Amino acid sequence: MKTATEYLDPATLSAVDSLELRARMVVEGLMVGMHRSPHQGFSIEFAQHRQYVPGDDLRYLDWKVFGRADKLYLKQYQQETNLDLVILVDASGSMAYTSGPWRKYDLAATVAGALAHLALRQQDRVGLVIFNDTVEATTRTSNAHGHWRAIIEALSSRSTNLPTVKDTDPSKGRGTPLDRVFEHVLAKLRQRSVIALVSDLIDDPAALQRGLARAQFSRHDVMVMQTLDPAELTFPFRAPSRFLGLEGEGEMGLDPSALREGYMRALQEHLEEVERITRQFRFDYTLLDTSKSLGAPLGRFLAWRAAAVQKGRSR
Amino acid sequence: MVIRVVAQAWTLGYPAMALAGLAAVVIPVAIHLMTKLHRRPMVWAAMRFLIEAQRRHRQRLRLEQMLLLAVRCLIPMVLGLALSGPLLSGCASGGLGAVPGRLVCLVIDDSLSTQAIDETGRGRFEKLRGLAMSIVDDLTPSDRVGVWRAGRPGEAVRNLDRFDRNAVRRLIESIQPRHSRSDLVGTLELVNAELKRRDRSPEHVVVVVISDFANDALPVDRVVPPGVAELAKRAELLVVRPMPQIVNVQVSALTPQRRVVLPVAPGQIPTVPVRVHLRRFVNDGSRMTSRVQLTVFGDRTSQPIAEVTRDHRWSAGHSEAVVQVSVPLARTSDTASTQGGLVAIRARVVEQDDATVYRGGLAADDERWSVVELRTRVRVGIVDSEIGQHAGFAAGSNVFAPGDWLRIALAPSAYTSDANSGGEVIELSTVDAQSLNDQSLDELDCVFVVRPDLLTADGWGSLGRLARGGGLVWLIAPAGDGPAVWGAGLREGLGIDWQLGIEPVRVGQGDQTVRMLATDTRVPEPLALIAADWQVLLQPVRVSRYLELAGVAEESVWLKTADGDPLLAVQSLGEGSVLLLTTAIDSAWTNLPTKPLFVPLLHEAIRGVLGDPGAASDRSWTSGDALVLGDRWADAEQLVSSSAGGVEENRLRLRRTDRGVEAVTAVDQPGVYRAWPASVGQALVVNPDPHGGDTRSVDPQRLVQWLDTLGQWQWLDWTDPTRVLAKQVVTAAMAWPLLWIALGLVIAEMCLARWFSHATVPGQGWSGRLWSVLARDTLKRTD
Repeated sequence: MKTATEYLDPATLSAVDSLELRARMVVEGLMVGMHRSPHQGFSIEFAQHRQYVPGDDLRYLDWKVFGRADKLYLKQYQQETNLDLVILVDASGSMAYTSGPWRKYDLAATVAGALAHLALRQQDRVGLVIFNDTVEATTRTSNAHGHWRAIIEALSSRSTNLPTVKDTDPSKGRGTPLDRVFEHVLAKLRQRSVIALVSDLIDDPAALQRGLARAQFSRHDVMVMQTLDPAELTFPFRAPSRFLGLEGEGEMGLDPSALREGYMRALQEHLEEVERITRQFRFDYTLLDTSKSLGAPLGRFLAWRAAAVQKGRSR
Repeated sequence: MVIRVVAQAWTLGYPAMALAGLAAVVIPVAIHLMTKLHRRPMVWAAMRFLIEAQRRHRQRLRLEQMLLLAVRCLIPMVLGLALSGPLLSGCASGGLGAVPGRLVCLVIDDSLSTQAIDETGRGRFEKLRGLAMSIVDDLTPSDRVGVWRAGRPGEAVRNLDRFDRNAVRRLIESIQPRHSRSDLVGTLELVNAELKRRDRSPEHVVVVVISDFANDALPVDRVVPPGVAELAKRAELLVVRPMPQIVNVQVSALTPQRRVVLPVAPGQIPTVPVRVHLRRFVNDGSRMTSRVQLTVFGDRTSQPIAEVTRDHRWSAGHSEAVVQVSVPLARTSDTASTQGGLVAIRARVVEQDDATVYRGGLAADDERWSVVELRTRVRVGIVDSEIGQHAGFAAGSNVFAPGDWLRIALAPSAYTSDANSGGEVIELSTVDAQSLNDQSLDELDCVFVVRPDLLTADGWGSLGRLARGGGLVWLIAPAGDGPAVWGAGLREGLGIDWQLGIEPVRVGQGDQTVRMLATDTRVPEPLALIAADWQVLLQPVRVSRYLELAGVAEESVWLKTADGDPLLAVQSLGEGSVLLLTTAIDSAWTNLPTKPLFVPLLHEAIRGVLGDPGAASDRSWTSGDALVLGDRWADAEQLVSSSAGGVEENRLRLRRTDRGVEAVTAVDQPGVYRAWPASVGQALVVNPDPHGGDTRSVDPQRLVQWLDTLGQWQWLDWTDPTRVLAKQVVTAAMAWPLLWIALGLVIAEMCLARWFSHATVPGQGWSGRLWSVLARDTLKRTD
């Protein structure tokens, strides 16, 4: 019988067909591994005190401090209501690539389901956006009971309908226009939200930069989770082959060993550029390897998130 | 089976192997193409990075692929070549143990003797040319070849250059033998100079001397010139064996006894005595006859004027002969009296059906040309004092003045009944010595100066100009007891450095003290016609008074006393001559005017000296000479020779230089050359070099001795001339070097393939460990 932490192992998760079950396994495995209460994270909490100045609203005076220290301090809170979590899942053709049992989309869907489950358990509202070159599917933002199942169903239904090589039209251009996706999503958000972007981000970094800039302008918080296959990260091929692009790039015959150095340099530059852009807007960035356990990056992400909230980081 | 590839540079024992290696090149090419065609397609998401990487490294990757493919193609090629048993010769084999390409200097003797034809009817030069062709055919492309002609003047017709077989063959084919003598020594020195100029090259130098080695080819009785000795140290000499000697009869000289011919009397056909010198080479002891034909050609026409034939019967053992013929120079007496100009005489050994009439195996030296000048009359001036002109016979006196003696001797008809009839061939005039100038000497051919003591400085200058222009100036000591101070005029006016005594030498009275003329003197060349009577004519002449003359060369003295003091001396001046008689034409000084010698002396001197020596010196040339002509040719632009039929045969361009008028190239073709444009009115003859017609062979033993002093040399066999040269071509077996090259290529292919694969993890086998050692730095960098 597997232990809870083994639930985060891709080999284990890939053996489970049901996305719902996979997401639950991830959440349980994550909680066991952290040994922490799940009631942390996406909640509205006390942030800090500051001295009273004439004109401040007296309702926020901390009378206990006044009674002990005979000084007037105001209590400040991060947010007055529950946060909205909007999860953006990339369902473009490149997300269908895999060199092992698990596609990048599978990882993205599992992460999205796990995040949704965590948020809903804290009564936060969760919304889902699945996009390709356009927004393919959305769910409403809700914290209603059963909403998680609707999210899982949306992710599952898209899992079997990813675009193939034959579906791509080279004339439409390649990649995912993230700036337009952000534009579409932000237009529907009425309050400050946390946006979780799960994508391989094999796109023009400038589009990502434009999208993140709009999100920051709208005072939203963004978590960027880039999912990549280990083959994409290491390029282990040796034999001369013909490479067929999944997003309409066409076909290239080449000697991979001869090009590996150049490929790795281009990939490294791209990853550094994505992280630099994300950090530029003080957003969170995590690289998810489809061959590695989800526990470490997700746990590290949630811990970092909690610490950030504790420090009162807000916008 | 052995075949020769690329003109002996490569020799392949098994050419099929080389072809198989060549065909095997398709294997790596096919593999290269197949790897491109049969690749398994693979879907890929991150095409963006692949495209970017390929954009950055496209050029380098393509270069790597081409380099690798080239190395892979070379491997089967080199391997096939190595297994085909290749042998390399020539310069390409130099670095592999064989000698490099050679510098081959072909020295071809094209002198007159090579025109000889042997008993089989084949010419010597054809044999030499054939041998040269054989050598050229056997040379390799790595050789460099130069060609020199050894007929005088020796010259390079092709400097050492890259070997082009067809060009060299055409060049040798175009060479025609000359009429000059051999100049092998000079040509070898030219070769040495050329090799010295390019001495930096380390090539093996071979000098092939292709000559008939006739008697005049090499000075085997002299020491080796330094240039040839130096050449022998620098190069290896290959020498053709001497050819067999061939019987030849030659016209070695044609000597007219007059350069200027005057009619004996008006209305008579002028004739000129001619000496034809015959020479027979290779005396076989047989009695044979040579027929000499003398033909006269006029100045303006190419049609023969006259023809005389003489036979000469050779005695056993005789090799030289002189045939004397008197040749008429005009067709009729009328034409002779009205026409003058240059007349060409040709002497030729002709052949007839009679087997006993023999001309020998070399026809090119069977004829010879000469030119004489035909004049209808000669104008002679007597430079005398005004008193002297009227003191003698003409004035009714019984005492003859010197001028009178001269007039009687030169124009006796002036004192006969038909005086002033105008029929004399010598026109006499008298010029006052004190008023002598250029105008008074105008149109005179000759002057007798009987009063040189009266000449002014201008008068001396005018005499000098007359002599330099081709005239004859005859100075005669004046009678009288005064000191002879006029001798200074010789030096100052004429530029002749003779020392003339001031006081006359008096030898007393009576026969006991009178000095006789020396009768043992040789006959001067211009007086050759009276040579037979020379001693008889000299004996009665007595001299009792004369001026001492010093500074005269022995050969310039025509007459001298019994004590050896010069009485009559000659000096060339420009194109003319100056004669000085140191005794006066006076009975107190000598009895010469009254003796039989006096008249023929004057006439023969005028006829013999006029035209000589200046005119003769630039009218007769030998093939191979570089023509340098006098000022009389200044207006000529070309020399044109015509055949007997009037067809133009040869042209020589002239140019003005510091030395005079020169022909641009050395003259070779014999014949009469006339100045062009014709208004210049000059002509010259070119004759074959008589030394070049010596068809005897050089003594083989002396030739060997001469060559041995040079050092390294070898005979070139007539039957197999290329054998010696072939030994020079060292071949190198190329199989092992090529196998090593193939192995190197294999290793290079492995390294390059590994390098270009950009692999970061070496394999586990020996090749991987080897690679780890070889590419340690690379691995560190890529990791």
